[in-house]
Amino acid sequence: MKVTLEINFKLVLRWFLGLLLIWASISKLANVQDFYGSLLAYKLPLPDFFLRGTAMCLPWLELLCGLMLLAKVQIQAALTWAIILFSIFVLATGAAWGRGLDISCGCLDLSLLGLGSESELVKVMKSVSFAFFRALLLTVGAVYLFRQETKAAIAKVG
Amino acid sequence: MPQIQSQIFKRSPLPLAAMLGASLLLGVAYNNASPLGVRGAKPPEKVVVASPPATSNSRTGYANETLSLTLEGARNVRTPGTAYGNQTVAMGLVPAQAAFPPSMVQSAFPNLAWPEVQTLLKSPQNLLVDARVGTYFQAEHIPGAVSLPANSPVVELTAFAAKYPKTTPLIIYCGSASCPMAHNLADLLGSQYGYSNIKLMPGGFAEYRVAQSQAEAGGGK
Repeated sequence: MKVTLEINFKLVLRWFLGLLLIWASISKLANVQDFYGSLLAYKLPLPDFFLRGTAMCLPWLELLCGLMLLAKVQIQAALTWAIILFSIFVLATGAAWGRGLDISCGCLDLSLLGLGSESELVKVMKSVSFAFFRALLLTVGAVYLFRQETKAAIAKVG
Repeated sequence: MPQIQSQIFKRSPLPLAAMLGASLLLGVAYNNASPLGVRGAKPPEKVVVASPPATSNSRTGYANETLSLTLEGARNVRTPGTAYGNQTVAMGLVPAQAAFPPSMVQSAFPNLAWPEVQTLLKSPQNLLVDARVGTYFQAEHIPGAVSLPANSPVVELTAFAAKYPKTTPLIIYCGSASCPMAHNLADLLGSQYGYSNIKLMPGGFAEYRVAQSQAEAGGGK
């Protein structure tokens, strides 16, 4: 019974991370300039060409990760990228929060859920502090899943 | 734990690199194809400065102002017979009305397509206003535009009203046909700040971007 629950939890977590990454990527791909504007708002000490490159490529990397997690193809590579991306989000949102920047994280398009941009719930969900904790939680989830998948791979081989 | 680490380094590098490479390729292709995509290179800044007329203009009062229209990326908007150069701009490859239907936002203000705006901008009396938020303006904007986000605080709107006379012909744009900010700003400037000569460019920055792409494609042939 324990084994079944654990497998189901891993399955749910993998699907959750996959769908979330796909949602995040579609939100960004729908208007890449919006995403680029969000990156600029973080006021990161990075050169402009790097931010442009990030705005161009990161949504596709998220999409690939999400699709690979759902399809269970090269799952360790997908999870490694997911951990890297979530860790970067943690650092970026943490730095923005620490500097007191009042910005939208630019992570997810909540209008896809039919939520108006003026509601209090949306304001909280768009806030950089919420984004920080969300990214932290997602990193923990991805690391957990990566370890589980690696253990399973080792058990399969050995 | 060492076993896990060895698994990471044994298995991951190639798929990781492949994913990054695929993302780079997809990102470059998608952004170059999309009118609202981000380009790799930023247009050169402050290439040409077109000064306002030196003589006093009673209608606009520009003679006593330090207004200057800075034309970023001016190499891309050169037209024959203008002070900007003699490069041919290939316009009309796709009719503006077909590529950019009238704004999805209902408006009482006259609508202009980019070629018409381009013609009007030859006169320094016309002021092109970017209604998008400041970060988008900083990223890229139509050459010669000034930034006045539709959600600007009153102090910025008042400063704008103090700088530009009420009779200044304003052409306002935002992101694209689905963007309501140009219309919102036009409403605000018309009703609360008394501007009487306001036009909208409903196709917005997306229309300009497509026209630029066509111009570059035409110029490259």
